[in-house]
Amino acid sequence: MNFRLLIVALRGASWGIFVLAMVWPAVAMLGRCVAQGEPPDGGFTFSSRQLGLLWRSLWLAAVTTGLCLIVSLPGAFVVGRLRRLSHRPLIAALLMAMLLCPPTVYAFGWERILPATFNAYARCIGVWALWAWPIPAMIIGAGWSRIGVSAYEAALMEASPTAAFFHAVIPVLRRHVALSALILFVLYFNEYGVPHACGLLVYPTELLGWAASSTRSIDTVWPSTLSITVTALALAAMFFAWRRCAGDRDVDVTTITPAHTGGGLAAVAIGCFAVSWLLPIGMLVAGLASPGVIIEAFETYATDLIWSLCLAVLAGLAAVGMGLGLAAMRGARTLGLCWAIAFGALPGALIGEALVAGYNHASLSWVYDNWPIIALCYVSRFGWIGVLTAVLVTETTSPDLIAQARVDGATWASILGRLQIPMNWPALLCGAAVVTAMSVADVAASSLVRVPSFSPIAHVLMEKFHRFEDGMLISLSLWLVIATILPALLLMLAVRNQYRECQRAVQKPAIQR
Amino acid sequence: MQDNMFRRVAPIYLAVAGLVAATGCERKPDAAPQNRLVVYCSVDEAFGRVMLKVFKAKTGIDLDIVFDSEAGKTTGLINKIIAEAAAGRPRADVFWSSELFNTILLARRGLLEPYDSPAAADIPSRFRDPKHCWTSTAARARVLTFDPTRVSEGEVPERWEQLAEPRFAGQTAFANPLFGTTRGHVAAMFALWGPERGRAFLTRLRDNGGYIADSNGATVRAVIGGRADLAATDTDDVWVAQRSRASLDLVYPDMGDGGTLLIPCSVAIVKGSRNLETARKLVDFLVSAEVERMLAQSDSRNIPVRRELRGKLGIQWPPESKISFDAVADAMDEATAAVREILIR
Repeated sequence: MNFRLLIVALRGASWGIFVLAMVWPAVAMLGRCVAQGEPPDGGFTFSSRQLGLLWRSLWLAAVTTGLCLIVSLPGAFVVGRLRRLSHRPLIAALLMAMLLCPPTVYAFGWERILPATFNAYARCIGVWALWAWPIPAMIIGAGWSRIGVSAYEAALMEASPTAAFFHAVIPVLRRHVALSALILFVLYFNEYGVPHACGLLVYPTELLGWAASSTRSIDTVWPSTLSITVTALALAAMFFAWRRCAGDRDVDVTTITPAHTGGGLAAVAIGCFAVSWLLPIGMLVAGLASPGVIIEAFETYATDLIWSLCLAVLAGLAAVGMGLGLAAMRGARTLGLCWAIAFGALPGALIGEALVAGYNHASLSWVYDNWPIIALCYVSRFGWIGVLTAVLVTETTSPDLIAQARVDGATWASILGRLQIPMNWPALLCGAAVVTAMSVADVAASSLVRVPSFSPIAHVLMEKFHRFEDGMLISLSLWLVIATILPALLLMLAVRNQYRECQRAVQKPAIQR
Repeated sequence: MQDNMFRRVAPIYLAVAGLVAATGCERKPDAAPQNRLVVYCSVDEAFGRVMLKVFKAKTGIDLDIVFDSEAGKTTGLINKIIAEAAAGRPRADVFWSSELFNTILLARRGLLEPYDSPAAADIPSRFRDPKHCWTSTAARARVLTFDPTRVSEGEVPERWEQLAEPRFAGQTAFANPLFGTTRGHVAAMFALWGPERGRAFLTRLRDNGGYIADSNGATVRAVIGGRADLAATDTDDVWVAQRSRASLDLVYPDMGDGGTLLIPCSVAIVKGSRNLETARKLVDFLVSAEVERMLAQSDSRNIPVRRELRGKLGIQWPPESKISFDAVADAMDEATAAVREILIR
């Protein structure tokens, strides 16, 4: 197949997904709002109840973001000490295995550990933080592999490795901390599943209620304005924090090798893994009445499980592919990235409503009635993570190499196809994996676009939770845990392969036109 | 080598994208296979799936089922049916609901297809639509549940209206009354008590600081977790919690006219069904005594509306409010508006 044609087709498909998942639904929903006019009497009004729920969502998300960043620091230390995750495929696999499992599964595990009377807010914060800490650990750790190594080495002369990390490294990684905080805040602020499993009403619960109880788009859009305002302020704050830290410069780490180990922090990181993953999953395994239930669960829900996982994987690949397509167009990628982040930061219920507005038409019933609407739903909601991954990866890939390729006359498309994707595909795979994990766990958006052929497994889990069907709940949760092992192993092999290729590539120039 | 890898990966990606675009082309909106139905089901998934599996085994007819989420119970599917009809493309063939009042509203909008099922001939007439748009079976009752280790039965309100008394301030839990059976329950209060008394009740309930959960199941969990002492819910939510060894008991509070509200499930064919004959077969099955018996013997323990079946199974019909289903449906809009204005705003 002609390489140039491939690139053009890839770009076209990527932009097609972008338009189908993020542009058309938004346009259709706004069109419907305009056509339907003002909210009716008895519709949503900004009251103390709504503001109270918003405040609850806000402080829960903010506190959890802070706690998650703190919990992630030992993990970030370990990742940073390894300089690149590709040096330790097993660590990469463990981090991804933790993240790939839906947070509600951990919530169900912790429910068995903690007494029923345990504070619901504390449980929600704990479950969230202990689930998502690999995200900042990988981002901050990856940052440390490029920035702050010399400062750390200098600090080691007068301080312990732990103190050096906190006092010399973290202050120069403000950009990475800000990016981590942004991702975490957006996730927590719009997440429905864990608060629901902890018996907490939050603003996403309220929005889903408004979306489900009305056929008018405006009834969901109007209450969402509060949520959107808060998210926009958070995005703006993060953006300015990002710009203020723009002076941080990369350091060539190949010349610096950390000489000391932080045994204490490494032990804490291992402890975090044990508490985050082994404890709740172990409790689920211990709670399994008999192995037969797990077989019965698979026999009953195999269709739902397999469809959900396949579509989530498809969404992950599509999201990263979409990001690469956007990244390949220098002029439009900033606009595409901003649009993807802005749309993805919308509440899940609003995204579901937008998809209904966009695809509940006779001419589009082949999308609305079948699995493509669910795949689009996942890309709409979590595609921004794939886009962000693709753009960041392509932005930060060996600037000198890219500059040389440009001098040699390479186009952006060929640089993307021949350098950036082959050099960074483990990182892109990580981005796809995160989108996949979020998609498997999604309840808020997909509940508005359910299709006849299967039920998303996250909905089935919720139903089992509500019906006190512990056997099925535990069994399905464990199937999801099992399902994370394969991609984690694949990732492990991928990063190992990548590492070996990098070592070989050092021996000869990689760039070829 | 890198080029080769990209050449291998890119066609796979393009093939997947093409597959997404091509999938729906096989299904035309107006052509439904004779042996396949789309069912919208707000009966709890665990029970609904079993019953529909039995139907498939008996008839060989494939069923594509859309279940409702617990939080959006019934209301979500109702609005889906309305929105799809408005778009000129009803997707569901049969609607099997866990309650009746919303089904009556759908019938009034002209969104249901009349069908007088012969399998429903032995169902008392009050559980069948005079215009044959719906049939109801297998009832559940609205109850108050409590933990007997914390609250004695003597302390539990005997009438629903007492739930809003100051002595229960901060101790009650109820599901969001915009959804599911709680929505019908509040409408029944409005129908029986009148709007003024209904609004006063909601206001007192709000002032008492009751916990508004997002589902009946969540109210039961609130009692188990000690967050509330009393929860307004349906019988089946208590039975399934008891099965998991939760310490719970229940009472049937009086609506003020001699009993609590009983809410039957309902079955209807959606207007515009592309497969009417097959849909009728499913309705015949769902309203049959066989399904009612299976639901009564399941963990849901629905109460059969057929007197004879109740006698065979030894099930008592609880003391029931005399309010008519139509009167409750009449009050739905007003009650919902009041809930939004007083409780949920």
